[in-house]
Order: sequence, then C-alpha cells, then structure tokens
Amino acid sequence: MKLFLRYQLSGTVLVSWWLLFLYYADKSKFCEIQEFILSKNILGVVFGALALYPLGAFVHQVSVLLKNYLIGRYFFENFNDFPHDGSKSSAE
Amino acid sequence: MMEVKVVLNNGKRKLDFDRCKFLFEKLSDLNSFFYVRYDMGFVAPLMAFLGTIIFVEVPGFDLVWVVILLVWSAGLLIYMGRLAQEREFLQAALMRKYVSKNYARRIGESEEKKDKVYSPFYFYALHAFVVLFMVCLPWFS
Repeated sequence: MKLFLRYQLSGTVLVSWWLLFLYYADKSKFCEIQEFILSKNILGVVFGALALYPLGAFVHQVSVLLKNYLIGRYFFENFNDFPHDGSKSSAE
Repeated sequence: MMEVKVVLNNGKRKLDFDRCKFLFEKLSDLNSFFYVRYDMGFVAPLMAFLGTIIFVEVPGFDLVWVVILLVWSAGLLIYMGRLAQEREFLQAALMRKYVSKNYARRIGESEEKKDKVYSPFYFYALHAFVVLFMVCLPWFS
C-alpha cells in the first residue's frame, strides 16, 4: 500500500510538473488541456488516476538507477546499494 | 547464581535486538525520504522539462528556467549530503564501529548537531522561494 501510494504520488507530481512547464511555455495549449480534463466524467478521472501508477513506477525506477549508478558512485558512496568493498554495509 | 546470569544474557540480547531494530527503522525512513524527495524534486521536473522540450512545440524557454532547475538541484544536493551523513553514522553504529553504552543519547546528540549545521528550514525556504518565483513569473513579464 505504501509503495502503491508512493508510485501514484510520483506520477501525479510528474504530470503536474509537466502541466506547469506547458502552462509557462504555451498558455493556449494549457487551456485546451483544461477543457479536455473538464469535459471528462468521474470515471475518466478515476481511470486517469489509475494510469498514473505505471508512470510513477517508471519515475521511481529512473530515480533508483540514477541513485545507484550516478550519485552512489560519484557523489555519496553511502547511497550505493551495491558497494564493491565488503566492509561497507548496504543496510536498507 | 545461574538465574542471574540467564537474566543478564537475555537482557543483553534484547537490548541488541532493539538497538538493531531502531537503527534499521531509521535507515529505511531515510531511504524513503530520499526517494520521495528525489522523485518529486529532481527526476519529475527534469523528465517534464525534457518532455516539453522534445515532444511539444514550444515558442522558447528562457535562461531563467535553466537557472531555476540548477538552484533546485543544488538545494536537493545539500539535503542529500545531510542524508548521506546520517546514513554513514547509522551504518557505522550498525557495524559496531562506535560501541557505546548510551548509543541512543549519542544518536540524539549527533542529530541535534547536524540540525544546527544543516537545518531543513533552509531547504524548505529555498523551495518556497523558487515556487513563489515561478508563480509570479507571468506578472513580471
């Protein structure tokens, strides 16, 4: 349940960021999106919210990859889940 | 005499178990904090920015957007350094590099010291400033 909520929240935040960037890039397109969303019924909104789950999972996987292979390797070795040295534990 | 020994051993084992449980819970909390902040504060805006640039015909972004993203990621890096320090301390405590009788008090002291150096207030204030700036952009232009 915790993971589900996290993925859903990540997908929602990604879409809201995208809408924000789109709004500042071209306001007319944002108006079109607003009309598209407002024209949908409640079922469409529910299915849209369910469709955010795989998006959030994708965002989470990208962040895990970046954490292990970019941040954990070059910036903070503590964040790496696969340390080469055996003495450094990767306690999760 | 035997009974006293057994009680002492049991108490020691229970103390060690509680200690490890406490440290592991703290570590998992730190991990989830990191993932949530990093997903929402860094990966999501980056992907949204790239998606708007690649897939949507945009009139053109200003340099302001690049500066905002750079400031945002700098704030996140500061926060991640703080998290990395806490992780290092907890992992060292788990590996028994610093063995002490009053481990809980020590962890509390270290947290207070770190909060004095890297207060999360600056992190939130920076993000609030950036969000306010983004919201007020149409009025400036």
